[in-house]
Amino acid sequence: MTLPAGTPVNPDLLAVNGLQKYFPVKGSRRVVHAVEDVTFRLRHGETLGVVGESGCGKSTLGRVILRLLRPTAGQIRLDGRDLLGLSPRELRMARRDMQLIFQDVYASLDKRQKVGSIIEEPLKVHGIGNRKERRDRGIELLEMVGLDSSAAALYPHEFSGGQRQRIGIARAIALSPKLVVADEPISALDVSIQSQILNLLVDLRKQLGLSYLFISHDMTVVEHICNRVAVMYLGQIVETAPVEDLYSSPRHPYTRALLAAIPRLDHPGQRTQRPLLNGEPPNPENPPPGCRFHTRCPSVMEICRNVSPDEFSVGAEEGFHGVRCHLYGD
Amino acid sequence: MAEAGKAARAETVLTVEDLTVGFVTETGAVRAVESIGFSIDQGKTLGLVGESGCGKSVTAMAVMRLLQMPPAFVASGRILFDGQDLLTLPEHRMRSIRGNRIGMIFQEPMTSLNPCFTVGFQIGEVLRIHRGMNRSEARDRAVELMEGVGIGAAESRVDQYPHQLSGGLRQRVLIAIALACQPRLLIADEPTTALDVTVQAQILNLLARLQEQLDMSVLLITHDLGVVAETCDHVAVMYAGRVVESAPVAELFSRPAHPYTCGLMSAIPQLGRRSEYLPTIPGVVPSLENRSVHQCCFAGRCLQSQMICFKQFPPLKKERNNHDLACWNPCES
Repeated sequence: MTLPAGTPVNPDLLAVNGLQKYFPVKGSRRVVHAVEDVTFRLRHGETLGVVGESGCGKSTLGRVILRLLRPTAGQIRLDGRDLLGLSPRELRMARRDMQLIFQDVYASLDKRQKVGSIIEEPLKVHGIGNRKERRDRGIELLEMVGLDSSAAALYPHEFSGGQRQRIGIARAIALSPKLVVADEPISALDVSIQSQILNLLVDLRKQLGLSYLFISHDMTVVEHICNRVAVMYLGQIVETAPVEDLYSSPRHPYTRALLAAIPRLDHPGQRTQRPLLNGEPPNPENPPPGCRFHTRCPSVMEICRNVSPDEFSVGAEEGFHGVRCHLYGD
Repeated sequence: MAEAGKAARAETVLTVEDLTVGFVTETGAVRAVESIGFSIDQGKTLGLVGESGCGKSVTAMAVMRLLQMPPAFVASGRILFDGQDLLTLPEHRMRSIRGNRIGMIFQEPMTSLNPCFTVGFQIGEVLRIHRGMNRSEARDRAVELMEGVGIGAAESRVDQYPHQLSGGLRQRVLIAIALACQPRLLIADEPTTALDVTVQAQILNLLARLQEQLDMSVLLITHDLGVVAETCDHVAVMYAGRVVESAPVAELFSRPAHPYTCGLMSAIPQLGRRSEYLPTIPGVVPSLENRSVHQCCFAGRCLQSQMICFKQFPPLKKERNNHDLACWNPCES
């Protein structure tokens, strides 16, 4: 991949270290361990997929990184800047560089606002340009996401699901951000529309040099669009690797199970009763001791019940392949 | 496949013929399902695939006679269940079939269960109504059924309320309700769509096992071609209220002929086949009000449409290998 011109020497756009987010449970002293000790890097122009099942903390992670939620502990650096040490004014400036694409885009669009004004709003909030410049930029953005400029005068309800997602994307890129967190951007869309939106995201990445944090539950979509993948389970990243490496040689038993569970098109009519994971993820209010996956793991050992595994590096040819599993310890 | 060829005259459980279902709206009548037909043999699974608004759920509701009429109306057709036309049955007879000889599972396991009653009560309700069991018999049988669908600690869970169970367990409870009376036909409308992949795989395995045990036929409604490939014997692809292609599952996946089916199959990312861009189907599904009966409903989005496609609707015709197709200019395979 070639990096856009003017890329700083530091190859990491986003560096997250030991990130932790706990939510107190109302009316009790318990806490939900939503994100626990998450560390990763995202390079300029790269797309990092965060996959996992519902409740694994992937959306919380995205929102903490965007500073929509305050982390309990840890560090977040965007382009070398510490996002947690910023004054409110500085944070506001930093928000220009990081934007969010929502799954339920319709809920994120004001139904009483015309599309043009929705898209221009980020510019207005950040005091960019005069009225005419903002309007021109709005039209330009609509065209970039494949909508007609006449869309500006319409309301969100006049569009289909796929078009609404395009509107959401136009708003997200209005400030020319560096990082876009895309939280399940296509899972609410019909199959024939999903591929249109995926292609648009690829186009914009190339045109604008965007970096994506692509949050999804769908392993096939992640393989398609991402360079690196982080698999999450109960708030932790259990495996992270370049995409080719993760899909050709998954190491963590959970990653293997996720891949095995995907219904495949290649052998229609053959009913394969595959080895499956039993049960469902435990409650994050009360994560199991030791390895968080040990209650469902087919390869569970004695040590897994008591000792939480560190992240071990398993040899990848290019890029880091880390696994949080005792099977790969010394 | 070979079995399709010999087809040892398996008993047909459900036949839908020329079914047209519409709705009266403020701006006039619209047709959600237009002259569709299919049949399911005993012990077999028919997959009804299509995107939102294609009429697949309306079809399921029509078979169960759960559509409120009006605004819904059936303009034509027959729904033969074991030779009996469900559309002409009086409501009290339909009631003895629903939940008894035809079971149904819906997509949303939370909204299909009543939050005010224990799951045991809701499973037992079916047995009290259709089998005349008393409360304690029904409760005991509910425990057995819960064990049968793989719910651990059923004896204690039977007295829990839906909110105390996870999504996967709720879907198992719904399956237990649907199968309590050992139906001949199960209608499953997106049964795993709301579930995580690892749980989806568990539920699909469970359904396959129970189907074999009960020699039950299944009408599976889904938008997920992977699920279809793994669970169905025969597939009907719906688009804008019509069946545009139908074939045995292996035939459909190896030789898709309708441009819509071909487009769908290539537009889905598949494991191990990475490419920078995915092929797409341009445009969107026409809305209910904008559907013409005088042209192919897919013509506007089709990459290989010709003049005739905009003038005449292509009839569903039988091709080789038990493959039905409604297209003037099918794709080469």
